[in-house]
Amino acid sequence: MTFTSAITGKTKIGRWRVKYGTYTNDSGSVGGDINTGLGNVLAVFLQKTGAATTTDLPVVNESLPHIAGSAISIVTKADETGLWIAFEGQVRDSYATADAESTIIDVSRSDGKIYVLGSITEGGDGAVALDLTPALNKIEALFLQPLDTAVSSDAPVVNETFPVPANQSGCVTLATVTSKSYLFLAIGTRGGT
Amino acid sequence: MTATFTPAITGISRSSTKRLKWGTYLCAGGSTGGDIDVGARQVEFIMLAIKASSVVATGSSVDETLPAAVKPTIVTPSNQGGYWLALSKP
Repeated sequence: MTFTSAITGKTKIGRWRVKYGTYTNDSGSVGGDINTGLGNVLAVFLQKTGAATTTDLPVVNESLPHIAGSAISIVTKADETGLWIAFEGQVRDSYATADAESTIIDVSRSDGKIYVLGSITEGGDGAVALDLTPALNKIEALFLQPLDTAVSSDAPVVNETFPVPANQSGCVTLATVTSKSYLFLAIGTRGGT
Repeated sequence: MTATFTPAITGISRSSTKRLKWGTYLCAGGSTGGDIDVGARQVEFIMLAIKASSVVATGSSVDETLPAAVKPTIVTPSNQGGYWLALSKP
């Protein structure tokens, strides 16, 4: 069984260094360690590739943020291939959100947009009313990554039509698996009311 | 009913060296995916998020070997909608 990963690109989004690449399992491999080439990693997101959908979503098996980027453990379905993207930075803008289920890891700004990395631990009802104010009050996109020790049989979803909402409150509703943890990346702006 | 796949670009920005775009996709009439035209010469990375009112059992996939695709093909459960984020060369 072999797990390999590769870095295929890099850039900077505001203060964050960003690297992305691919991962490959074969001969029955179900994950391994991604060497992101980064130091203090704040968040990692995975995207399965291939011709078929999946009922076993890949997960990041780490307690992020603040881990060494040389070995980010992921768990996947056997022989799965995919893409990864990792964000590195020194946290300057971290705080608990008003929704009590999430924490903003850090905020970065680039080309007129605000990027927010955060973590969520769902409280028990399977839903999260994610409140990203005051970091954002107009959310244009949001992506979720499950954190777990085994592949996820349910995919968390975004229950909104972006940009949301029209009154520019920075709140978005998510449906998640009860009591599971996630990372999120939100992109948006701080518009007027 | 004809199967239709409708992607759209809803946001654009730049990093230090790349162009970032994000948007939506919608499968209807039994569609199970299609090509997302991100308006780039070469897509280097793309990830997806699902839009729904409750958790779903089946996740989407990107049917490409990146970096390479101009219009990445995604594969989804029937009639699923969602969001995408792509990084590409400027």
